[in-house]
Amino acid sequence: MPEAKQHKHPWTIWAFLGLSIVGLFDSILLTLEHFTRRGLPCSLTGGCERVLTSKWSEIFGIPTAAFGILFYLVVLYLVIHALTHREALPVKLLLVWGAIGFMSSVWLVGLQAFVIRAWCQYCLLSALSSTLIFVTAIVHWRGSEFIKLEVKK
Amino acid sequence: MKKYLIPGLFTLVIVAVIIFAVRAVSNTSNDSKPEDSQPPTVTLSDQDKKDLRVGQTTGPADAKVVLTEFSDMQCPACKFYETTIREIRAEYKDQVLFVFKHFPLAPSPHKNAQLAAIAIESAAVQGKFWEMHDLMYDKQEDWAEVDNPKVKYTEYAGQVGMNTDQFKKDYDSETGKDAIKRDKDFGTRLKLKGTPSFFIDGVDFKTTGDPGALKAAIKQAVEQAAK
Repeated sequence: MPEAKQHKHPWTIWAFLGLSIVGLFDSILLTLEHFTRRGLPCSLTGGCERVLTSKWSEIFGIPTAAFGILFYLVVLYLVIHALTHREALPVKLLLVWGAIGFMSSVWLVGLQAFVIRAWCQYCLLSALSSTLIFVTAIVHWRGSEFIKLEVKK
Repeated sequence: MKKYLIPGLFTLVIVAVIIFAVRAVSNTSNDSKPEDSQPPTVTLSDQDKKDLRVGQTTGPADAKVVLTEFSDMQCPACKFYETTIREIRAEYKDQVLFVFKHFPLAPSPHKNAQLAAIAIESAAVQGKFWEMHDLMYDKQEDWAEVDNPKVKYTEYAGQVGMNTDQFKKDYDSETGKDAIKRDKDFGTRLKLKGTPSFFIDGVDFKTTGDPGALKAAIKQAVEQAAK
C-alpha cells in the first residue's frame, strides 16, 4: 500500500499538534489563574473576571479549565504517539474526542453569551481551538476514507 | 508498555515547556502592571489611620485590631474574599473591629456598583447594613448586570426585614452618597490598586489572591494585641 503510506503524516497531524499546544497553553493559563486569582490582563473589561469567578468556573469542584487540559493532553499524546511510531492517527477516536470537545465548547460559549453575559477571551480561544480540532478530525477522517477508497481501487 | 513510554515522555517534555511558558507569560503580564512595579509611595498620617476606623463597622469600637476593607459590591474578587471575611467577623467578633469602606468601580467595569453602595447605605438607615451587605454579596450574580437593580435591591430589603417604602425613599434620595464619595476619594488618595483592598491597623495588607493569608495576618495581629 505505497499510496497509503504517503498519507500517514498528512498536514492534519501538524494541525492537531499546533492546536493541542495552543489549547494546552491556554487551559494551563486559565487553571493557574483559577488557583492564584492574580488577575489576567483582560480583567479591565470585567469580562474575564466575571466568567472566571462564576459558578461555572468549576464543575464538581474541579476547575473547568482543568478539563481543557485533559482534553488537549489526550490529543497531544495521540499525535505524538502516531509521530513517534510512524503510525496513522486513530481517526475514529479523534472524531469522538473532538466531538466531545466541540460540544463542551458550544455549551461553555452559550453560558458566556446567555447566562453570564460576559466574554472571556481566553475561554473563547479554547473554544476556537477545540472547534478547529473537531473540524480537523472531520477533514482527517474524510481524507482517510478517501485513502481507503484509493487503496481499494 | 514501552510502546507508550517514548510518546509519553515526549508529551511530558512538551507540557513542561508549555507550563514554563505560561509561568513566564503570567509573571510578565503581572509585572507590566504599573501599580505592581511601583511600591506604594503613600505614607499614612495619624489622621488617615483614624479615618480607617470610620465607616460601616461591626465589632467592638475600642478593638485593638482594626481590619478595614475598601470594597466594591459588584466586584467578584470581593465576593471571593467574602467567605473568609465572614469567618473573621464571626471568629474574632470580640477582638476585631471590621470597617467597610466604599470603593465602587462604577460605571466601568462595574455598572451597578455605585447603586449597590447606595442600597447598602440605605439599609444602614434602618439598621440593616450588614444583613443587606451579606445578602447582596450572596446574590451578586443576580443583580450585577441588570438594567434597573432597584427592583432587586427592594426585594432584598424586604427579605432582610426592612420597610421597603422607606428603603425606596432612601435609595431614590441617594442616601450615603457623600459618605461613598468620601471613601472613594480617600481610597484614591491611598492609591489603592483595586478591590478588595485591606488595611490591618492602618497598615496596607498586600493581597495575594489567597484569602487564607488575610485570615492568618488577622490571627497574628490578634495574638500580638493580646500580649
